[in-house]
Amino acid sequence: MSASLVVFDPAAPPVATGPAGVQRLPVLEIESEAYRGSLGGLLECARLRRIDLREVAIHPICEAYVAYLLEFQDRDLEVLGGALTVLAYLVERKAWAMLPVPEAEPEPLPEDTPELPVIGGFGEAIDRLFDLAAERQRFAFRAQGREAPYEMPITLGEARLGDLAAAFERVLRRAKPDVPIVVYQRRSLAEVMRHVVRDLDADFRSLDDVAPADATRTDCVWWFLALLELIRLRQARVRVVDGLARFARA
Amino acid sequence: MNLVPALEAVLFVAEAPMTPEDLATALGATRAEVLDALERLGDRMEDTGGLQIVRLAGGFQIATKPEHAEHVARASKPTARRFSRSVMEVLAVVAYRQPVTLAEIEAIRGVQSDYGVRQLVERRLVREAGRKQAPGRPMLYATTRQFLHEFNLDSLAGLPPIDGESGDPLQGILTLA
Repeated sequence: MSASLVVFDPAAPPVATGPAGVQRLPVLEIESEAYRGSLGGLLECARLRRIDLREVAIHPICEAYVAYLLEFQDRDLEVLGGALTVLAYLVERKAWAMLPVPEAEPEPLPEDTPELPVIGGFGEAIDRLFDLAAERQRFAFRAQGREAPYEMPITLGEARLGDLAAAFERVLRRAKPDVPIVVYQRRSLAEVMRHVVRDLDADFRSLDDVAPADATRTDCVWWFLALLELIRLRQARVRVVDGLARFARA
Repeated sequence: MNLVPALEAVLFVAEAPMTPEDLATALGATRAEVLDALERLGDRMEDTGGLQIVRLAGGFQIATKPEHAEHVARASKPTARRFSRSVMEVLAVVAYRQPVTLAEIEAIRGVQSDYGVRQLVERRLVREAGRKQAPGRPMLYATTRQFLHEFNLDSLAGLPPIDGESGDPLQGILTLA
């Protein structure tokens, strides 16, 4: 890793770019084997993972920053705060890049291989998990070998997927036909979720009562997807009452 | 009515562990009657035959007895499901600290862990379990029922203890769907 030469021009106007919302960056020019250019450019390359920060010495950049702060400590706080934010970002990204990356899935080690250090506190538990897996391998089940069923990433409590499907089907049946699209307007699921969570309240109500009365079929699909996501995020709940799925805010 | 033969038939066709409640619904019996029949069926199977009833992943399922493992392996040639030490470390951290983010896993292990987490998600042993209410809203991970099944555990309470702690994972356990 080569040394970085960093110079700054105190007379140059601040640059109106930067990550993390920093609007004004000090003008630092960096010269090293791995990178040559402005500080803003280095940060952009780091953000887009186009540069290996392990090849760029950070220490000279830090020194330049400190010198900049000491020289211009009477300047407005926004610029100084921006400089610190950017520096922290750069150091943090380099720290993550320096974390060791485990090798690709290795072959099982021979039995006489010396033990490797284990993460603190988990050693015996990991050994026991290996034992449990080995014990389990000695059973066979009738459905063995078939792919494990996909586990729904949402908690439905006592309700079943069929209850949700039935509720959705009821709403679709009363939905108005879709209007032919002249100009496609992109929707945001997050925006629909905000509407849905506003329409829910603490009492459990059926989807017929909660969904908009004038919804088209497409509206119903968006509405239902938003509701599923809210259930997954535990911001909505579902319960079966009198055979019908009912929904409430969490 | 003698529930035992009917119970045996239902368990035979089941492709996943069945809870006492599911069995009660299938057999038209009470939960207490099902548990009694399970005990009687289990005793009978233990005395004779090559099958047994195992309790895992929150339910009951018929399985072969371990003493016949070699014969069964020769006949069915099951795919060996091996775990590397690094993947098992990731799995242990998720199992004991769930729900947990990738950053928290990496902080405990001290190494990048996204490969291990991806492997475990593909093997259906770990699932996404919502997002943490924290800056960036990182994804949370938790174990699945398949994890319980593959490690012969009835519930997370059966996890072996770590360094004097109970086997039960600490706060924030999610109810498995």
